[in-house]
Amino acid sequence: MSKIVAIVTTAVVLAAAVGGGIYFWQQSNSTSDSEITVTDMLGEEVRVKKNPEHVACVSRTTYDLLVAFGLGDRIDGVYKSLLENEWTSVLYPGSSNHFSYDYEPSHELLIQRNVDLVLSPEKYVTDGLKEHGIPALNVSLYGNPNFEPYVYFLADLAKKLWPDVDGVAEKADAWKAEFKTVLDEVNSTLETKSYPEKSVYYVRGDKNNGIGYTDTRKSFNEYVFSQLGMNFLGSTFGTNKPSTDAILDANPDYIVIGGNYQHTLRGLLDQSIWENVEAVKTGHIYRIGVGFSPMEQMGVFTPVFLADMANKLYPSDFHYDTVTMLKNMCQTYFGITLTTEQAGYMLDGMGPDGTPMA
Amino acid sequence: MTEDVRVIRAYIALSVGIFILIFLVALWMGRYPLEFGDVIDYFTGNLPKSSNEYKVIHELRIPRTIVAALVGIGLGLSGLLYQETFQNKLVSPDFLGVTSGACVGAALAILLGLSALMISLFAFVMGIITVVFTLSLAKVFQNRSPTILLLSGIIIGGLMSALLSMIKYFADPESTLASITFWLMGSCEHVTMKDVGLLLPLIAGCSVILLSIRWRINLVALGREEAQTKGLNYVLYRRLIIVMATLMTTSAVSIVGSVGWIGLVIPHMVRLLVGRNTANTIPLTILFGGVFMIIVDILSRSFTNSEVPLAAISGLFGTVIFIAIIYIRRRSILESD
Repeated sequence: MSKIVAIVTTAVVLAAAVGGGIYFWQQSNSTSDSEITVTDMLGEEVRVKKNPEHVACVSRTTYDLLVAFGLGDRIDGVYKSLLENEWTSVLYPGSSNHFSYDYEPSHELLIQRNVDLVLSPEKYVTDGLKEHGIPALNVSLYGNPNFEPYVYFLADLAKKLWPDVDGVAEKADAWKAEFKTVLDEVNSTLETKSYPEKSVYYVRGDKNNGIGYTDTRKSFNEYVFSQLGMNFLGSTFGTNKPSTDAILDANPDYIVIGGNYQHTLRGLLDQSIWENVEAVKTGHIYRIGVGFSPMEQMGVFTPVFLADMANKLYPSDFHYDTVTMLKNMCQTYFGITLTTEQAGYMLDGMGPDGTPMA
Repeated sequence: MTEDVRVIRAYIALSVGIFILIFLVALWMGRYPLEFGDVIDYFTGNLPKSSNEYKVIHELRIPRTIVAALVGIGLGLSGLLYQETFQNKLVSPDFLGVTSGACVGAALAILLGLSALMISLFAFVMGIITVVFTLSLAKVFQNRSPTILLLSGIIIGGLMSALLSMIKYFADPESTLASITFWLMGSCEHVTMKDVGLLLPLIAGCSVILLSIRWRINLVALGREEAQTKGLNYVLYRRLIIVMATLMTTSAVSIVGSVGWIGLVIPHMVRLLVGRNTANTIPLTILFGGVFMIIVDILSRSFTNSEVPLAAISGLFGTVIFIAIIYIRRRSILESD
C-alpha cells in the first residue's frame, strides 16, 4: 500500500513539475505588444523587441546609419574595427561609450551586457545567436539575387524597429531621399549618353591583401558600379581573390581603391607588371573616401560615394560638389562641422590629420 | 655497362626531358593566355620587354616555376632521406616537427603584421628550433632508437599544433586569421625572384652534397651496426643527413607554406622504378619531385580565376598516387609482413 502511495505521489509531483515548466516556457515565449516581427536580409522572420535599447552593431554597415538616424544611445557596442577607425571618434564622440565587439561575439558576453538585438554580418553568426536565444538580424553587404532590393533595407528596418523614437523615420527618409536624388541624376544623365561600356576593377583595401582582393557578385559595389554604367569585373571572376593573371587578362579600364590600406595598395600598382593595364596607362586609378568605414561599404556617406565616383568616371558629365555634400551630411546627421580640409582628407581616404590611416 | 645501369640512365635521361618540357609548359600555361611561341620568343630575346606577355613570363611565371621545382626537390629529397635513415617508409619531411614549427613561425609573423620576408624568416627559424627541440627531447629519453626520435617528433609536432591553435585564436578573424589559413594551405602566388635567391642556394647546395655522398647514404640506410662494420662514421652521416633534410624542408615550407604528400609519395614512386639504391633514387627524386610540384603549381593557377591552394592539389594527387603505389606493391608488402 505504501508503495502505491509513493508511486502516485511521485507521479503527481512530476506531472506538476512538467506542467509548470511548460506553462513558464510558454509564458516566456509568448508574444506581446512590446515585440514585432521583422524580416532580415536572408528573408528570415525574426521576433524582436520593439524599440531595442541595447543593440550590438557587429555588421559594419549598420553603425553609422543608426547613429545618423539618432540612435547612437541605443547602441551597446560595435565591431571593433569601426572604433579603431580615427574618423569614428571625430564624427561621433559618443562612440567612446560603445563596447568593442569581436566579429563573432561570445554569446555569454552579449547576454551579460543585456543586448536585445544583434545586427550580424554573416548567416552562420546570425544562426548561432538565434539558436542560443539571442535575437539577431542579418544585415550584410551582399543581397540575393543582387543588392538592388536592399539599398534602403537598413533605413526601412530602423523605421520598423524604432517606431516610437522621435526623428528616426524622418532622418531615415531624408537619407533615402538624398541617395535617391543622386541615383536618379546619375541614371537619367547616363541614359542620355551612349558611352561604350567600360570595365572597373575594385581593389578592396580594408585589409592589406594586395591588388588581388576585390568584391564579388551580389555585392553593394556591384550595384553601385552597375548604376554607373560600368562592367564590374568582380562579378566576372567568380572569386574575391582573382590572380594577377586574371586581372591582367581582364585589363580593366578603371581601377578604384578603397579602405584604410588604399595608399599602400596604390603604391603596388606602380610595379612594372601592371604598367600595360589600361587603367594604369591612362591614369584612371581613383581613391574612394573613408568615413566610419570605407565609403564603398554602404553607409551614411553612400550618396557622396556615388557622386564622387560619377565625377571621377565621367568628369565631363558630373560636377558634384562632394566636399560640400560631405560637410552638409556631417552637419545634418552628426551635428559635426567639418572643415573643407577635413572633408578633402576624408574623400581622399586619409585620416583626420591628413595622413594615411594604414 | 649492365642492363640495370642502362635502364636507370634511360630513366634519368627521360626524366630530364620531361622536367624541361614541364618547365616550358609551366611558363606557357596560366590564366593569362599566351602562345607557346611567346615562351620561345622570351628565351630567344624576341619578346618585347614592355609587352604583357614578357612581364607575365618574366615576373610571374619564371620565379614561381623555379620555386615550385625547388620545393618539390627539397621535400622529395627530405622524405627520401628520412625514410632511408630511419628505416621507416612512412615518415615524411615533417616528422621531426619541421613543418609544424615553420607554420607556427609564419603564423606568429602574420599575427605581428610583419613583411613577407620576415614571415619566411620566422618560419625558417622556427622550423630549425623545432627540430632542435625534437632532438633534445629524444636525448632526454637516453635511447638512440629511431622510434624514440619518431615519438619525440610526434610530441613536439603536437606541441607546435597547439601553439598554432593559440595563435589562430588570437588572430583577427576578418584579416589575420584568413591570411594564416591561406598561408598554411600553401601557395606560390606571391613568389618573386627574391624568394628564388633565398631558396636556390639552400636546395641546390644540399642537393649537390647529397648527390656526392649518395653511395654512403646506402650504408646509413643499413642501420648503425652494419654501417659501422663497413667502416662508415654512422653518427656523423646521420647528423649530416638530418641537417640537410631539415634545411631543405624548412626553407621550402618557409617560402610557399605547408605542402603535404610530396615527401611521402615521390620516394615511393622512385623506389618502385629503380629500387632502394640511393645512388639511383636521389637523382630521380630530384627530377620527379621537381616535375610533380611544377604540375601542382600549374594546376593551382590555370583553371580558376583565383589560385587553388597547393596543399589541396598535392593532397588530391598524392592520395591517388599513393593508393596506386600500395596496390602495385601489395604483394611485396605482404611478404615483408
